[in-house]
Amino acid sequence: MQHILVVDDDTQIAALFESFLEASGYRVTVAHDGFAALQADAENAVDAIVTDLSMPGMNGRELIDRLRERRSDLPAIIVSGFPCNDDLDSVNKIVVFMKPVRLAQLVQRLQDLLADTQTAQNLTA
Amino acid sequence: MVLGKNDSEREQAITIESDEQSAGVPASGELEGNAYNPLGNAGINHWQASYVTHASLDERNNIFFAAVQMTRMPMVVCDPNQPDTPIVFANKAFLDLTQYTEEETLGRNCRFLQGEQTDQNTIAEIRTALKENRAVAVDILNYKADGTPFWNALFMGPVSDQNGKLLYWFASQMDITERRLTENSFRQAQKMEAIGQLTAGLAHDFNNLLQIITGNLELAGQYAHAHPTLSQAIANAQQAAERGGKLTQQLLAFARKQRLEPKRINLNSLIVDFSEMLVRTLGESVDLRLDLKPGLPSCTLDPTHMEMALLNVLINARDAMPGGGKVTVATALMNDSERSGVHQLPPGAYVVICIIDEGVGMTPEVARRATEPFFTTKMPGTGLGLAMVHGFVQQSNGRLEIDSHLDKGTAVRMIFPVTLERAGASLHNVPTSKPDAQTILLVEDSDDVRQVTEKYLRSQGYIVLSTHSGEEALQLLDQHKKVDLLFTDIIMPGGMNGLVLADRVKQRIPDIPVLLATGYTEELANQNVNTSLCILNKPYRGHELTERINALLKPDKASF
Repeated sequence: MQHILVVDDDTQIAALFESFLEASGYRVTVAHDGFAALQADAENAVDAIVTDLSMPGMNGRELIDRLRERRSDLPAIIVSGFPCNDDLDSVNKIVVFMKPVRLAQLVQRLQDLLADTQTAQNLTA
Repeated sequence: MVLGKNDSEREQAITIESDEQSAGVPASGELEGNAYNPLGNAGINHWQASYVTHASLDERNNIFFAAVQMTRMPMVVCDPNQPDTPIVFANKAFLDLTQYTEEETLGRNCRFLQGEQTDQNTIAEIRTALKENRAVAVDILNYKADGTPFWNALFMGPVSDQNGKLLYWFASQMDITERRLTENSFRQAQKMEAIGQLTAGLAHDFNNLLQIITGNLELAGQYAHAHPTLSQAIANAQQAAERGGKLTQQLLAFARKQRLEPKRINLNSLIVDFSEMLVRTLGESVDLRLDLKPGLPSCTLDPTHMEMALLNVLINARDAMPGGGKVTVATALMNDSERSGVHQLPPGAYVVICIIDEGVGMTPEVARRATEPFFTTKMPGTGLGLAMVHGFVQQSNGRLEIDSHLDKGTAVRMIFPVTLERAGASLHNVPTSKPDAQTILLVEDSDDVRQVTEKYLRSQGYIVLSTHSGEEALQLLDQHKKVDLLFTDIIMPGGMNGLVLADRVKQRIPDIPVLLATGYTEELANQNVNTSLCILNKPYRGHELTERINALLKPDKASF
């Protein structure tokens, strides 16, 4: 079962993503800030991350950078209440959704990213 | 109102400067107010009223007369003792400013400078001053001989004989149009900036709330299948939340904070491709004309938002012509620095798209506020249409201009910088391997997957043309006519998806084999995918890919 890290300082949003991802067949770990997220990944490495962008302490981009120091091809999705116009998609390989996002759409993209990562690993192996 | 002293106040004034021939009441800062002061400080020493011993206008033989004709400050003298207080003297600078000749000026009341948009309250201020025999300073909209309006910093003061009998009104003028426009646009920009910050903050918080609402409704919906009334209630709530989401999108668009995906596009092609949709929206009573400049250079814009902006402006044009009429969508190239200066743009090349209607037009007040959010003259109207267009154009480094005349129509111009030419997509990918090698067009938005797939396919002896988007894939196809197989990802967010791309490629090369890749098979069920298409599920392995490609390229020999 693939392991997803969900990070959002809004506990209701984190709980929402958690329950929907679990219902879609993933194992989910929730964190409410970047430091807790890094800790959680250190204890039990994740296969992908779904994170908020603006959070106190460490924002979603920094968090993804830190996690990718551990695994450079980690699939990452930012779900933000505020649009970010930096070209995260092509430059940093981060998928950005704006809130409110349809949960089914979020899961679809996540599944797609996980499959891409696996494919790349297969072809380089 | 900015008025000087009246007769009795002047009598009490201690500081009357005088010599044997004339005397004056210093302004002492009294005429400082909202009106523009050309002195750059509170006028203290200049006279606001004067007293003379020689009333004649005929003494023109001294240095003072020469000075009045040489100064670049326009001046006139009017005679209140003649019917309708005509101008009895106008200096040369006045003629320069107003472009009237001396013959056209002398004998007329100063009101000949006023026009349609001159503020009646300002005129009333001047009348009060004249009636009460006080000096006055106002900014008034006047018109030159050719009808050009200009902002006039007008000062008027009474000239009396030594007994206090009013002889003349002296007036000086100054053209302060440029300053007024700069101040106005600065104020307007500040206001828009403040509204923008407010709406952006609000939209952010609302998006978080909407996420919780829509997400929980989506969850609830999954458990409510057996209960039609509950399902319906959830669906209704979802619709309302979606409307809320659209509203926050519009607010963010106005606040220049929306997520744009700019691409290199040609506005002419965009307009032509979108024109069918426009015609449908405008209805039968509106005659849509296109006047497109051939060879228009590209600019970098988000095409979807550009279409929405165009649609918004055209809907306004339609609504401005309830009886129907003609709407022209025109494009032009602007590349001389003088014209870009007029549009307050830095020198450079610009593409202009102009939407011209023959509708009811707007009053200057409405035109000035047209881009403010929630400002609307339509019932019902959201007041967000032009606000969004304004936000989009600004966020795209462009400029929005609105020219409107009541009962004549409106022209809305969007001006965008031209994108400099660059080499075509991924030309470096053109390989020079063995002459009989087959060419695969690889389209994959994930950089990692594309790079390793390209490398893998090359290692298998194929020529690979690769790109990350459907749009660029079509360009590549046009450049290199010989492509033997299309291998494309299906889901490519933000652009053309793999299924649409496959259709477009088949229009160009009808019998080209197509292999589609996807990590999300359920998506295909929703898209009525033609089952004859070959689909490779991600994650795939190298040998699976080779087998599928070989099978497609040599259908006779292979079996699936």
